[in-house]
Amino acid sequence: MVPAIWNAETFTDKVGQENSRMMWRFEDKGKREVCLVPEITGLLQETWRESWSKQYRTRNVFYVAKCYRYEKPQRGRYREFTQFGIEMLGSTDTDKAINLLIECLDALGISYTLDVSAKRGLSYYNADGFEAKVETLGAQKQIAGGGKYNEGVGWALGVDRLILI
Amino acid sequence: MLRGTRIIEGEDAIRYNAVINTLRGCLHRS
Repeated sequence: MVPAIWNAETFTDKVGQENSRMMWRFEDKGKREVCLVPEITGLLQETWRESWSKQYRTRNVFYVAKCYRYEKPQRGRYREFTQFGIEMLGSTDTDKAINLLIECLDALGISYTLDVSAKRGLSYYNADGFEAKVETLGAQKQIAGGGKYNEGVGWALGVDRLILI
Repeated sequence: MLRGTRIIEGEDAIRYNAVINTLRGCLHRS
């Protein structure tokens, strides 16, 4: 389980310019720049670099976390939303991550399309990523996204969109 | 309630929990 509040700096370089503007960012009483987490991968990457990589060769984690982005609210897009994700830290096995995503989506019994060479918006990805879409959802049809980054590989699913299907 | 936030209740809350339980179960089997 991960905190909802984190150092803003962790995300300002990593979530891309557009998402950086979407952050719920403020100064706390100790004059620290903090934010409500806009996504989870960035904080787990930092935790891997600063701590876990010194204890583990690889580490697989999953999370269910509330995330926060100051975006224009609409159906399937909220300023507080839930992500279910996995990160395989220390791994480069993108195929394994994709297979796990397919297993999870199939377990939900939904019809989706999977793009395994998607250009992802987040700047930490170091290769093409992958995205799953459900066409019937309309404008907010992307339900999952992921890819490989320097510290590992992972993906996240948008739970709020899954319950609209 | 702040704009863009909501209380998830009723059928949506049941589906929300069911989705998370299914995903968790899937990972535990893998």
